Amino acid sequence: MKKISLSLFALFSVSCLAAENIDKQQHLSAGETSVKSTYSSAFSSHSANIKGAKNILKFNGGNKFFEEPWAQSAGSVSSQDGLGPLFNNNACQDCHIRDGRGHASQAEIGKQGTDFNSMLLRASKSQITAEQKSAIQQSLIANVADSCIGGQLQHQANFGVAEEANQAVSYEYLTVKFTDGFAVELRKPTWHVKANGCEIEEDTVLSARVAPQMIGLGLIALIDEQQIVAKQDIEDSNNDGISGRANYVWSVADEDIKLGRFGWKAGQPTIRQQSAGAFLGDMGLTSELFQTENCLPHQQDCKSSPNGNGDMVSEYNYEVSTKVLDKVTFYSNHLSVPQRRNAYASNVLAGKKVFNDIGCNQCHTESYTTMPSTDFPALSEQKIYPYTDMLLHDMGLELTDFDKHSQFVKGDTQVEFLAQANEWRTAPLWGIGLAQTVDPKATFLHDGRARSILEAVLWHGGEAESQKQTVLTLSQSERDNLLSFLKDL
Amino acid sequence: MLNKKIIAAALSTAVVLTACADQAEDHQPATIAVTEQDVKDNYIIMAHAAYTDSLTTALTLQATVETLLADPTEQNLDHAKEAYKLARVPYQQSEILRWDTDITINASLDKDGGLNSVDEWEGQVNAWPLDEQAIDYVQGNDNSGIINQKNGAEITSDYLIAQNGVGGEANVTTGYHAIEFLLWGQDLNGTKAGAGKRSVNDFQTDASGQCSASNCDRRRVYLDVVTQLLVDDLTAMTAEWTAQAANTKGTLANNFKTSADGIRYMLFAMKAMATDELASARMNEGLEGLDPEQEHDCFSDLSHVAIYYNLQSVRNAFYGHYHTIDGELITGASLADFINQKNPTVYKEFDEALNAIEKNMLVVYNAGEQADPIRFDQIIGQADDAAEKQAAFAAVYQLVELQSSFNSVEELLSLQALTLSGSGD
Repeated sequence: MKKISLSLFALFSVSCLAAENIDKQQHLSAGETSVKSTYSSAFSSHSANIKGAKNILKFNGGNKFFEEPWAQSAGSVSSQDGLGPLFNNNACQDCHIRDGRGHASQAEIGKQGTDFNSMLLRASKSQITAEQKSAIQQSLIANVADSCIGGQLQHQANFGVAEEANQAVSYEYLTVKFTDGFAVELRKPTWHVKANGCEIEEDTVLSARVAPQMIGLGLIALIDEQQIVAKQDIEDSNNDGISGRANYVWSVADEDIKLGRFGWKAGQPTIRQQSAGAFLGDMGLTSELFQTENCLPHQQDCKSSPNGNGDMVSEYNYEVSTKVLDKVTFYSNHLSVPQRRNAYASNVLAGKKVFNDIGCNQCHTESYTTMPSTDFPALSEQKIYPYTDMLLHDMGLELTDFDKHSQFVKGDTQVEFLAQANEWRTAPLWGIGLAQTVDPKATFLHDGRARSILEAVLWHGGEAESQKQTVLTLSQSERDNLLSFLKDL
Repeated sequence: MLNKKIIAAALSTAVVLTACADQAEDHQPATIAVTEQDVKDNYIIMAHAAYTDSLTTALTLQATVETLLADPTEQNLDHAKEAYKLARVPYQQSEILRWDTDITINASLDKDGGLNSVDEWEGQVNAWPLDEQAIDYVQGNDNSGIINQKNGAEITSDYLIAQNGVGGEANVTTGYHAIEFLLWGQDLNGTKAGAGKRSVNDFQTDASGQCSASNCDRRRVYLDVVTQLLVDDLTAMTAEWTAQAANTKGTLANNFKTSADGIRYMLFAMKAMATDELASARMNEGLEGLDPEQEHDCFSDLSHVAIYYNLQSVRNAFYGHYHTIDGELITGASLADFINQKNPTVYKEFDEALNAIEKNMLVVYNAGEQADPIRFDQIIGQADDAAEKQAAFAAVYQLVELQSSFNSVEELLSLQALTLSGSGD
């Protein structure tokens, strides 16, 4: 009798403990900044806790310059001109579709897809001098650009200027089987690049990048650096198969080395520098931080094109005024993350347990509390659930950068500061469940090859190989629960 | 003869419209209960009327353009400019229908061969800023643009659509603002009085010997084609909102009518127009940034018309009414009634805010219409204590502060309008 009551008590206390352990705040992915929306506009709201007309006008002002097209120089709207001469797109929003992510082109078997409207290719040489290597190692330069297409392939140009190259993608369609026989089709990309009037160098590494989602960036900027760095295990000293490396990058504004936080390889230290970098690289627009047009020595037509410096009222030696850059930065800091929809449903909680049991959370770190911020008080000291450790991880051969023949390069080739060809920053998972609500065309992973979240999971290799293998042994209900959890993020 | 009649009709309409802008009439509360479906049905009637008026005024514009090309005189150029101004009045009111992606994106509306979304369509019709250098000569470059590519591709609507579509909206070359640029040319007056001043001889034939800027024939074709394209686009949009369309699966009207999110979409669009597009993009960025051409109709200096009628689009959506270009008042079950019947305090807050904004926007509108006009780009250059600039800034802040009224309405209607469905994946 005594025994029975004891075990009943034990049972009761266990289930009670389980209930107590459920974090009742986790539906608020971005703390008090989270917004409640399940529509295609779900990624386009400002932080829910922003107050005051001035702040809202600043956010909306940033939205205008993010959303509207920029014109080539000299356009009548002098504060919004200077596009090109070379560019990937003429509006931020046309790649970051409704503030969400872009996509890789579709292509049927045997055909090539040419929709590169929301993605691009980066380029960096791998055979470089010892001096250049040392500068990269010290985080003074990101890499050495290709002599034919530079550091990024721009496939559009102003009237009268030649585009840098043509590009296309084709796919091999593969089938991956779970142990229970469940089959998933994956598409493995082959990239086709033909430069215009010159040859891309044999040693150049190409890196395909889809425009990432814009939500929650200001909160990621406020994750404590100590916490990120503490999770590094570069030599895998604990032998768990997972290393994790922080990228250190050059901060133009600080003229100093800083932790890399933004971009697929964590190549940018701040949202402001990331924005200015995108203005220059993707749209051909110079700013306070990057004042030189990215024309290469052999691109005479690019070099002789007029610039859009200054506007009718003020003179400045670049195209995007500091006022506009600051607005776009404010906007990018405050695009909010939607609340989760069914965080406490039993299948979602069960899926979260599968996620943790497999060890996905070893890299997709669930939660942080942001640092205090006087610049952006709305983002200050918020409990957030981004599911990222902000570190670089080897993701395996299949996700490694490639050369102009679409052949994988050596995994340890450095391509962007300390980041290697096979390394990618753990992508934040918040919002992924709404990615295809925001844009049905949206695809996953850095190069957009994954058409669904499950496909993205199955492309994990390298440091995540053993976790992926475990996923393949999941039963149907475990698999369904795992996906219910991921789709609820 | 026909053209003259149309122009005469158009000009007399102008008088009616100017008068319209002065009547900020008080809304009379409905005496019978208004349902969500009543509000939506009336909205479809209003949408059809606004697009019909947009099409009618675009046809008038087209007639004046044809007259101008047949007989390029200063008077005929002025008539075309007048017609452009009149065409902006209904179109700017129709813009409240633009933020429809939330209800159209997954609605599979492409199956009937018609338009899929106003938002998607809008890029070809009213995209801004325009890349005018991609169209024609500009200051400092006599040879720029499609028009001055002597041996360039034949200018057809397909060609212009293709140019417009390079990677999304790159090099915007079609729509109202392309026509505006062709009729006025660049405004080089900064914050001083005066709009663009294109010479009518830009529209003489090359063979006439009077062509003032090279490639007049290509310019004539461009104007003709781009105007036809606008008419075609408006024809297609009007067809999406007829009474018959409302009962036909696959149309925008039917999609709206049957959408469970119809009321939320109306409010979302009002909020997007009021607090974001109008207050921020079309007013504050010009007023604050001090770039005199950071205004919606920068070549013609008709931004005061554009922004005033954008405000009317918000008021129309709320009060459930629309003044047609013929002076008829279309009115019916309104959001205002719907809200008032649930909570008069929330209605009153909204109504008072809209009327306060109307007063300030009228100051800006009237300044642009008075005998010695002060246009929006001149207001940008005014001292901060000038009455017009103060009114413009006051309107900007009042529009943004509408956000709190929207929040009250959203809270009030949450059960009906904002209930979230399912997992959202």
